[in-house]
Amino acid sequence: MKPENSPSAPPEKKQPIWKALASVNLTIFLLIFLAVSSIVGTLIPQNGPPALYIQNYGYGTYQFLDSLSLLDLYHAGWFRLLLLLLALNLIVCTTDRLRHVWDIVFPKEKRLDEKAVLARPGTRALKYKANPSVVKAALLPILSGKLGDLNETTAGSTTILWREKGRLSRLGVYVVHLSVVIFYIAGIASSLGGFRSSVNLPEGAVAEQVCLPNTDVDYKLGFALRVDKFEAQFYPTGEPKDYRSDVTIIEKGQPVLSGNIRVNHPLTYKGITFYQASYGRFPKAIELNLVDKTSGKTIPLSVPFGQEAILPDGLGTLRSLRAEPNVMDKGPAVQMLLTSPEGGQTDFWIFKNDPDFGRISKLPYRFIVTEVREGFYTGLQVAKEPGIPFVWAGSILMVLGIAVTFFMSHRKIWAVLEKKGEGTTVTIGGQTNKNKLGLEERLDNLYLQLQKSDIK
Amino acid sequence: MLSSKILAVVTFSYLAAVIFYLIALIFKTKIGQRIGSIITIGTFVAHTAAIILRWVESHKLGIGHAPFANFYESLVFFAWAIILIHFIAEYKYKIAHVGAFTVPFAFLSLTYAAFSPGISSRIEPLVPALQSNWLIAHVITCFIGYGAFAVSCGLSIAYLLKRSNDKKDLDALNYRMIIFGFLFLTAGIATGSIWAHSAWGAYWQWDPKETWSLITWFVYAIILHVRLRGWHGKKIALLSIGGFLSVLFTYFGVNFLLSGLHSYIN
Ligand code: HEM
Repeated sequence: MKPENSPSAPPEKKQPIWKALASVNLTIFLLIFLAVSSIVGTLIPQNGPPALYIQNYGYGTYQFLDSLSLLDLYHAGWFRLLLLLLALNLIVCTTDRLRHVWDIVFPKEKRLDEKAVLARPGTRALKYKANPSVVKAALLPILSGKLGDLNETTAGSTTILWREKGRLSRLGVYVVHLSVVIFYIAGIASSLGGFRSSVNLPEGAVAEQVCLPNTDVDYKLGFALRVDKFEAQFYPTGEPKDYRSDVTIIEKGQPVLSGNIRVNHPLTYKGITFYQASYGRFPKAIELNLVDKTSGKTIPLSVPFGQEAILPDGLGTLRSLRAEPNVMDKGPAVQMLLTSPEGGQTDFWIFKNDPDFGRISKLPYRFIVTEVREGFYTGLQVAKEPGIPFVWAGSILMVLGIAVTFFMSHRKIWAVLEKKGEGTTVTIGGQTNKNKLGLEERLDNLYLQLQKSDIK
Repeated sequence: MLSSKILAVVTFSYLAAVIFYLIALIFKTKIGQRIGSIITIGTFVAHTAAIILRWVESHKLGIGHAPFANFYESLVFFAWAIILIHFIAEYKYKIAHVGAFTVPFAFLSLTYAAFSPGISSRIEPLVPALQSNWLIAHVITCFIGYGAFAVSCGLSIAYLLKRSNDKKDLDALNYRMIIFGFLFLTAGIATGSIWAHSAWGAYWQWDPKETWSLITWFVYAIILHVRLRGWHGKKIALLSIGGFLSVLFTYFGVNFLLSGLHSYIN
């Protein structure tokens, strides 16, 4: 069955491939295939470590799934091929029909297919005593609307007054189809010209490059980003309220821009955007008191994390290795590495709450941890997405296109005036490419209006 | 919280409306239809007031935000959107007895919100990821779309149950509901993706919720195109019910069965 009023391609000689690519059946097939594949992709966890799959499914199944690229389905070649086919289908189908639709939308002259109208003028008829020309004059002000001027076609003794509107709305569908193509361009632009990465930066740290994921390549930003401060705020209930990194952009050694990065409020500089993604704490320095075992004298010593501090009296150096919140259920503890002047190394733990547990007796000190100084690091997502303007354009066009498809239609409304004896019959009718309910409602209104009017 | 109390009453008066609509349907009484409609309108006014009140209450708690921030609030708004769109079918297109097939969805959504043990009706502060105007645009568009699909599903059930031969109007309206829903679902996915870009730096990550919204979108795109092949009536009705199941999975199933960024519930 063919839907009424849906323009189909004129019967020309066409290549079979072209015909296949222009068919709506292919569209339906591709959409079903894409939907089913996407479902599969949500049922099998994507991009997990192989061990996970082997554990859950067994080795054979893992190999099988991997060979079909079902473990990274949305980036698999065959999935992309399906998307590509849909794009081709869309472009071919649209060009195929557009020529024909163009003739309807921009006709050389306004036309009414009077034969079709006279064959099915409609069911809403009114009888008048006056002759057609009088009735016509009376009808004119009622029939002419704001949109579309009233046209007149005569066929023998009958006159058809008609109005047409919404021809342009036939292009709405093609705007939708075009917007799909724009999304493809967005995807291609982002995957060719964009990148995404993330960095963890302690307060005070400067990033000039980021590591591209799944590669060893570093991406040079072309400027530097310094994290001045990170702050996390919480509601009284303990839920997070705000994460904020205060940053400075430095170019050629000069600070050029200061700003902050918050969730939902990224910072963009020279096309590269920084997003607040995560945060954490890290130990900055371990503050120790060295208590001389014999004299009881206390010497404070600060051991910056990852660096060496020199012990007094030429006893060597101390480096902090780890700081843990809870070791052996005895609370916070730090692990230190002692290097003697001769080069011998020993590592040992100091428990904050129990300084005499497991201490090293060789040295003439007791070690007491007074504080583990912590700083924040901020986790930033760094991305360049040249596709974004296309995403915007595609979204707006698609929504507009569907709205046109929904809210507007290409309609003709007519009144057929026929001479019947001395009087005239008027039949109201119409034709639309969609929303028949809306047209019927409109015709009902018009019919009522005519019944109420005082035309004789 | 006053708004929660009002919503409890609202839930039961939608049930009352459904009962009257059903009486009208089964016993062919005009009066049942009339009473059902009046109750639905009155309840909808109270429902709207409760949503606004919840907004005001959140400001009084010092954590003011639009009431779209958790699962409970989304269910309340889902029910609201269903009734809003139900009015189009009942008053603009004058589909008789439509209330018996659409209002139950709103009732079920509110009942689920009120009685499911896992759902808290507390007004919660907005976590940073939700502090965005896109939240409002995204939730409103998605749920108007879902509401239209719910109404389309109700119309489809009515179509399948109705024995008379004169079902053209039902079919035509059903199809219009699908396009209307598709319009808002598209806008919902678009606003969601633009929001995701400003919050996480990626507009599309194939996270399960995103993927399922796309699957739902495919399903309705399929319906739009098989219609061009001449399918209508019963086939479209069945497909529309299938589409709504996909909506339900996107909305509920993903939260419970699959993990991702979107879950309101952790
Ligand atoms: C995901 C991609 C697509 C979307 C979102 C989409 C969307 C739409 C929409 C909203 C309509 C209007 C439906 C109506 O008026 O009832 C439509 C109509 C149509 N679509 Fe698509 N479509 C897509 C892909 C395709 C493809 C690949 C083809 C290629 C054959 C195609 C062929 C058509 C045709 C022929 C029409 C009818 C046009 C007319 O009424 O003159 N569509 N499409």
